[in-house]
Amino acid sequence: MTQKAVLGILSHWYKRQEAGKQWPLKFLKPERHILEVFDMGETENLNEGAGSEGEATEADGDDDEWRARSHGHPAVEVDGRPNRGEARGEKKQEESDTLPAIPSQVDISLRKLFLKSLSKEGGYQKLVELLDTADVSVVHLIGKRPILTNPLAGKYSGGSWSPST
Amino acid sequence: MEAVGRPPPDWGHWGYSEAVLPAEFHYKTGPGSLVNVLAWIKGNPLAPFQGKPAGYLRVEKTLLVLGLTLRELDRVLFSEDGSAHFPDYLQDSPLTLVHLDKAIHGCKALLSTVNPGALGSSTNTNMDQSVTDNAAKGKKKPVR
Repeated sequence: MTQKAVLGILSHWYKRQEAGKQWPLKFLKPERHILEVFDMGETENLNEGAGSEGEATEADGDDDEWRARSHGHPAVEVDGRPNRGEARGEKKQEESDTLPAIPSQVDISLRKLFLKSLSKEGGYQKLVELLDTADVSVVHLIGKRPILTNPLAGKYSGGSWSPST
Repeated sequence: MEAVGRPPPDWGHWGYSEAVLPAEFHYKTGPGSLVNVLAWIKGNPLAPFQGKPAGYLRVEKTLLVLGLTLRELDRVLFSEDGSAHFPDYLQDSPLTLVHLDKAIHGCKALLSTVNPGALGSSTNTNMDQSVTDNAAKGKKKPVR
């Protein structure tokens, strides 16, 4: 396929998109060198594993943005691809980066995150997971015997027991 | 306030207001030294007390001590020369990889006593059972 043909297809697709059609043209993924011709930069590596004919290829950033607009939520892109999950991960990373290094300055709600950030050692990280497990255990054991309960959750503050320190 | 085995180091609380551990941590002996921390871990700070499993706050506090210890060792061993924001006692610390290994081993040992092979489960019934079992076997005698 010549570059001229590709340009023609893309131009037509763009026109239909701008015309407000719900699902504009769906076409085969552009070849890598074509992407380079169109100077699509960072989206180049998205060719791998992209859809076949009949599928909406997400390699085109404009497509994602257009779809996002049409569905009323902003397009969140990671390396040119929409990925809200990774965006949340980034937010978590940002929170981790902004954690204070001093225990007394750590907000109660961030204590678990602070503890996780102290060391990447596997055994320690698994121990930190005990805190996650504690939240679950309340659901199962509150009727019998509360263990490792989370006083920060505030759900059972009115109970007849209090966590040991 | 209950105490299980050895008391934790005096810097092991959420009110600690320094970014690095005190010089005492790097000493060969003393209540705040690494040696004492390792002994404290060995005493299983998560052991049941009066038949009750460790509460959330105790687990949290234990993790704080472990985490601060590992972070300090990481700074001692892996910070590049010229980390001027660290005090001299940290940069000149005699602690070595052997101490880091001991701390890591302490974490794993603690993990095995709390919940052998069952971490990551969606419920902690096994953990509850293991803690109770350990108490029944008299592995740890909590002292007040």
